[in-house]
Amino acid sequence: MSFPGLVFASSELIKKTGQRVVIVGGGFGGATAAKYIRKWSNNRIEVVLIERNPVFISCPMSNTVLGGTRTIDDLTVGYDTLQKKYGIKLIKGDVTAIDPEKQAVMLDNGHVSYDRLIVSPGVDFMYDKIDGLDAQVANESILHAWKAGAQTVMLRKQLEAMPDGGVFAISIPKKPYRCPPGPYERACQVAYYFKNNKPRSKVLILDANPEVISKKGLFTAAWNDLYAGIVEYRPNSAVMKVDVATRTATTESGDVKADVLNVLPPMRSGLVADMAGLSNVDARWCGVDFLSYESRVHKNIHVIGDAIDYALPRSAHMATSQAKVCAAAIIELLQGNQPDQNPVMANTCYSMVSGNEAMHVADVYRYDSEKKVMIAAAGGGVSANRSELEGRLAGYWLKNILSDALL
Amino acid sequence: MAASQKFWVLLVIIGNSAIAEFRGKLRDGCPMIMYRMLLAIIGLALFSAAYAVDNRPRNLSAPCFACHGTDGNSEGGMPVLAGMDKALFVSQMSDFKSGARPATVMHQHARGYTDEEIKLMAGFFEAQKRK
Repeated sequence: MSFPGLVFASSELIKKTGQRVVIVGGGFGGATAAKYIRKWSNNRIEVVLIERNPVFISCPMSNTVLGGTRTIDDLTVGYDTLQKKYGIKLIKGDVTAIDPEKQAVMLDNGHVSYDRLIVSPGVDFMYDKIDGLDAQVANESILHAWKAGAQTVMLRKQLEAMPDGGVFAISIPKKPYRCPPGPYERACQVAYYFKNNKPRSKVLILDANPEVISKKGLFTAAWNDLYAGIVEYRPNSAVMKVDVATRTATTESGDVKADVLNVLPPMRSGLVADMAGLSNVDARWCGVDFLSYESRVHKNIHVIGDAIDYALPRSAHMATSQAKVCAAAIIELLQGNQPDQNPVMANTCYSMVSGNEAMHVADVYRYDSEKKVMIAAAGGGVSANRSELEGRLAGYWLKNILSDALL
Repeated sequence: MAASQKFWVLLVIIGNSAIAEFRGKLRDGCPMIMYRMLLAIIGLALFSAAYAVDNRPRNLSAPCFACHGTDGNSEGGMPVLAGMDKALFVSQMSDFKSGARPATVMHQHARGYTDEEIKLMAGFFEAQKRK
């Protein structure tokens, strides 16, 4: 979609003097890209970051808010350091249109022109795939809490209000979705809360996939060792319909009534990507060139994070790794140079399975110049066991990745 | 010295001798001001090419920052890599690779990189200022 003439009918919100990169979305990907374009260009390239939320809240570790070992404040970081320390220009607001021809992003009160645009839109939810579900229901009663923040806090309150002996049911969509191990970690965290506070309660996992898709052995061991009699796992149980009044989920294999129903709808690229028609793969994910993260649809527009089309994990560490490849490539491209032709990136993802134990999956991904995709290098894998040591490392991971992205 | 740096140094040497050769011709054919400007432009081009930074070590190291802090300056818990002796970095990574040094996660990362890449990362982290 483009709107010829729109640019000139509105005013430039920030006077453009030199080369400028505009970034839409200040999550792990967008914030990291903003910081590193400034840092690696010695502040030569102007960066404008557009974000709708007043503060950053980390999705990773947000399941521990449900378990009760962290609060949402522990996961919250302001954008002020990005502004003060790196000179990033922050616009709080919603994008209303993107014009790839005139190279401008529209907001309610004007536009910002760009030489290069990075769209880091995260995911949005395909509510229409589940009968009875829509954005309002998801915000008020049958929460997803798959973007950390108000819903995370509300879900914790639902668990606190639930009587002992109640059922918490979580529905997992078919892959791919944001954070593959996240739903299984959430089941552990809710079970941890129940075990200590409401021991007669149950956690029911309704998985649309035929089996646990991430850290299978480790999660299965945690459920057996720590939460026997609390956690029940049901594969091939896609939720097709929900009834809000009775909190009933209809699955392929029958109806499930829950006291707290937590439905993760199927996911897609954040909707802002559609403003420039960037979601070109199955009208769902954004195809990119993995050397620069430039969109396959439009020149000078790059897409990073969970929204891109690839077969690798949609995680925070991957989003920041992509952001750095993209930042380095954009700096080269704006100087007329070729980007690094052999990007290598790493992913480490911890899952907290109790109050203090965690396990991880770690891989290095390398560019395959024939297939033109990132593929896992040999040698990656998961923890040998869950452990308290990894539980502490997970906390250090959070502290460092938040700092690397935002401070 | 990285291969790309050697290339640029060689280019400067060739460039300088080429300048000497063409100097005379340039002087004969141009007014003095234009001659000086031309020399300045050629000099500037060769200077910036010679000092074009090889960003490969930085790019390889950047994903490590997520756990080890920006430029290897860990904010806590994870080891600080900024300013680490290059040889120590290489030996630790080799020991993670071989399993000689037990680890929870580092063996899985170390095995994803070539020995040459590990040396480049070692050079990058050694050069970073420790906060």
